[in-house]
Amino acid sequence: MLAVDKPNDKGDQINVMWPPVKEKIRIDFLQIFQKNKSKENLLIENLADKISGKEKDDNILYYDLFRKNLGTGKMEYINRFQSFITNYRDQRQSFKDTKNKLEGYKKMLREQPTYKYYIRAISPLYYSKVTESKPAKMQGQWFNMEKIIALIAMMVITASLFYFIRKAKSDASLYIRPLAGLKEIDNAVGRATEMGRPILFVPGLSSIADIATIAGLNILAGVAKKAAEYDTPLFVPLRDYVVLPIAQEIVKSAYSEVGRPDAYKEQSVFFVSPSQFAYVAGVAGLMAREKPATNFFMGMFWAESLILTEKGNEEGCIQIAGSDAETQLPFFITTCDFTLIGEELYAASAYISKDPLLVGSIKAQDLDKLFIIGCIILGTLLTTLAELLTYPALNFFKMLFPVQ
Amino acid sequence: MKSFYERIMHIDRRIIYAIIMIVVLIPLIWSLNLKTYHTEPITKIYNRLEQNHKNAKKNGVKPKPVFMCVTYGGSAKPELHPMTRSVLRHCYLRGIPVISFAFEPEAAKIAEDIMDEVAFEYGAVYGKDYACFGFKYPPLPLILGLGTNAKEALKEDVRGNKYEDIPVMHGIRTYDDIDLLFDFSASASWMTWVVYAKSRFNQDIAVGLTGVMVSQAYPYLETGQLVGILTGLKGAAEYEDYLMKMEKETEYSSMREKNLKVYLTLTQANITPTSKNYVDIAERLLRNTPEGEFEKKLKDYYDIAQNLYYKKYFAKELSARESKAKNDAEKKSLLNDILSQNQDKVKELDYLFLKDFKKKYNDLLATSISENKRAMVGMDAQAIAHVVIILFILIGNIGFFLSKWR
Amino acid sequence: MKTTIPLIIVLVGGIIGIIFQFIPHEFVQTINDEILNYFRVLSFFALPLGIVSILMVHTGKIRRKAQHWQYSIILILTIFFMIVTGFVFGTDRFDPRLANYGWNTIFMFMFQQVQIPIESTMFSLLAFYISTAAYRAFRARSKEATILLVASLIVMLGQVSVGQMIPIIGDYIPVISNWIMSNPNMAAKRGILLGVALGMLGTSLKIILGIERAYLGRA
Repeated sequence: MLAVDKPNDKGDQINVMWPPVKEKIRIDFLQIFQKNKSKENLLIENLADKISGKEKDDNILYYDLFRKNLGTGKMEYINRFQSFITNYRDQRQSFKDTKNKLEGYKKMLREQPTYKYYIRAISPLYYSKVTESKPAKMQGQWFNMEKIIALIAMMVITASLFYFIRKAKSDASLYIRPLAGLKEIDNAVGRATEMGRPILFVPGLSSIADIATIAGLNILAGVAKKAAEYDTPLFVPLRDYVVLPIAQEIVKSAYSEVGRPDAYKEQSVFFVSPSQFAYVAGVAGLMAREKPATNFFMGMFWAESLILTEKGNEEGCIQIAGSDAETQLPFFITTCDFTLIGEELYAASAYISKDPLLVGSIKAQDLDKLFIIGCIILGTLLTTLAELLTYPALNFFKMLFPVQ
Repeated sequence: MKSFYERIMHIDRRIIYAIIMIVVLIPLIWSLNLKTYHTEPITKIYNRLEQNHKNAKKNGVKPKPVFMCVTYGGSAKPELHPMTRSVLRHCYLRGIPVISFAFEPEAAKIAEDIMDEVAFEYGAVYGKDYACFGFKYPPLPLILGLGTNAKEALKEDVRGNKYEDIPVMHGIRTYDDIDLLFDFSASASWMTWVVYAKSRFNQDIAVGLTGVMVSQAYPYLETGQLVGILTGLKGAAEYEDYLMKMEKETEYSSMREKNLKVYLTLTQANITPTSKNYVDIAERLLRNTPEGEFEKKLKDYYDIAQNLYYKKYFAKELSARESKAKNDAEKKSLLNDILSQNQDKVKELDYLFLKDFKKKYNDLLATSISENKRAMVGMDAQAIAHVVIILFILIGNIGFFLSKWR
Repeated sequence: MKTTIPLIIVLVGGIIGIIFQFIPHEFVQTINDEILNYFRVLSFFALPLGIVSILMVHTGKIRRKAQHWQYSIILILTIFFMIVTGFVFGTDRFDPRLANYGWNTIFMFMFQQVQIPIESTMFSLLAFYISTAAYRAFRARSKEATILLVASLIVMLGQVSVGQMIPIIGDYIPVISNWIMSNPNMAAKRGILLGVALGMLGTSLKIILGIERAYLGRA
């Protein structure tokens, strides 16, 4: 029987494994009794002659698992397991559940959570001998080895980012593929100005913790600046109240950057409702009343995407969308004039600002993508080979690219 | 004057809306009864629960319980509610215990309501056949906690009962003690179940998703990480079809209709409702319960409901006395004290309770017949809508080609 | 100063967040949980900002007597109605005072009988909008558009039982529809997802390192 600390955890689990019991039992003696009314045992049948000395496969029904805390000496019953289960992950109680967390943590350290495990098999005829494991200590690790690939990948990506940023600083002519949707932002703002109608900008419906929202707000910074230059009214309805002050600050500073802080109206960036469809109703109503010439939908969207864009279409707006929600992209593509697909949304702020640092980072991401595509092709090939050929050296790759 | 092809290329959207509305409404009024074809992801789930029932019957034990995680709000309710209802019906019919919880407060209320509603219809008893643990947050500690110690993770149900006091929870320590886990989800929570509950604890999972999300889940079905998927309204319709057949086979639905008739004749004949009559009606309703246990089960159910009724009525007095009570034993006897002091009122209440109970029963039976076919009717409407949209697309294309040809 | 301090907070917070991802030790994870709890609590302090914002917009409308200003009155009244009923009667499912009649609390009544149906109604608008969007978008303008059109027709038929009722080809439609959904469709989606994942990583790094700072209001 084996009990070992679970690797790469916070230190509250032990893996317990036991070998399946497969014994043959020999029956020498079998008699059947029955109690009569005066509670005396009467022998009904003696089967000893028929089956004595015969061997029979033992039919294990259950395992009973116990543990002993070597710190406190307390013995505990853990559980009864079906016969086909031969492992268990034991977990101690979290110290967080104790009232005083600090006290609980100290107690946990003092108690030395070292355990010894005992197992016993149960068959219809008997309880097997108790097997005990070596003591195992619950230890927390200071580095998660399962995430080593993630660490390496992150280091590669960071390194490439720094390299291209340095290169972009010295060499201003880095080429990145133009995106149709972004080129149109200028035209779309200009169109609204010509028509004398406002612009609507929706930075998604998600919270600020969503990268798509931040990407949307980055684009808002560029759009707000252009709107301020042309003196076109801008509406930014919001669903998340944490995003509200951030969006207000962005639009305000965009106006002051082009030298028209007085033109900024605080009520143009406003909160509608945290409820998804109440928000949609609010924005659709806004489109019907204010008749914006251009709509921007940049960020995270869910089922409301089509309602928003189709309403905009009905009002005859030019619509530019960008989202990383792959389930909503088909709706955007069918109803909007231009759509930024997936990561194009993240790249947008580099295009708008033309900041060499940001342009360099796009280049770095492209290189990283190439690297990942290479890894996928290589990994697929090697693991397929390892499956087809039973060549032991290839097993290493199976291990390197585990299928989960 | 616009030419013909221009007109069919640019049909006014209001005309399209009106036609769609009409064709969707028709199947809701007149049932079309289109044939339902069964697909693998749903059949797998149905068979799994049936297998659970058969195994239990063979070994003479209670079926293994299922967990049910409900993660949808009002907006996805029309699509996900019928499948939740179907799975609950199946479980209650086969005596499979159901334990639910939710990761959103809105969903917790929805789950509680539907469980109580279907339980009433199928005669399941709270605490014995199902339990509801309500809103649990954050999700991850619960998902991991269920793998190591369910009691610690769930703690207390929505009615304030402790885990150890709920009979249905007895013997449930970890995922090992349950059969299947359902996640009805309008968000990505089902992925969290797959990543943690399946890969860490090897818990079998079935999910119910909205139509647009289904394509994301298919690869997990192929790899066996999911037992099955209830694929939007279509999946729910298939499940309803299975249940309808099953109820017919077990003569459940015909019994229920008969119950309704018996009940109606009773009320029309103006027979004073006595507990004996009530038992008669309910006996047929609860005919799935093993023999001998029935009287006890019914009494429990009736008592619990009646007790709640009393408690609600005397709530003010009860809370006033409760604050004065010294210990727990005294608190428990409070209700009985109040009842014995107000004998006349209790008689009146008993009568009112029975009346209310019957009214609720009547309403439920009448609506449940349509509720139980909700997804199938919905699919009829969807099928017609698909055909009409395809027709519109074809008309638009004909116009487009005519304009090109000219 | 106004940009430096937030950038330092982002840098320190980001690096700590990354490091915590790699250390599973209980000591570190406890601190991590505490930080996340604080984040959750702090975010609620922004709620009054939202309420003030919505009130400002609508009181402004009422004062100006802007178009349809009467609706703004209803909006403000309902906001306060829900807040007051929530605080006074509680958000439980049953109000003990109304329980004799089997009624919910007013808050829950409003939630179940008003909000849920309205939300479902808004959601169901999708059915109408999908039909007009599909009618406009699916035209065989080019070779690619024709492929898209044919694929969409097959998938639409495959999703409902009508597809199977078509003689001869009926049996194959769900199979082809399934193939389209789980092969070409899935491949495209995965491609987008991989790009998104990498883009997220890159953007996160840029935010932590302070390269991307437009969201702070200063480019």
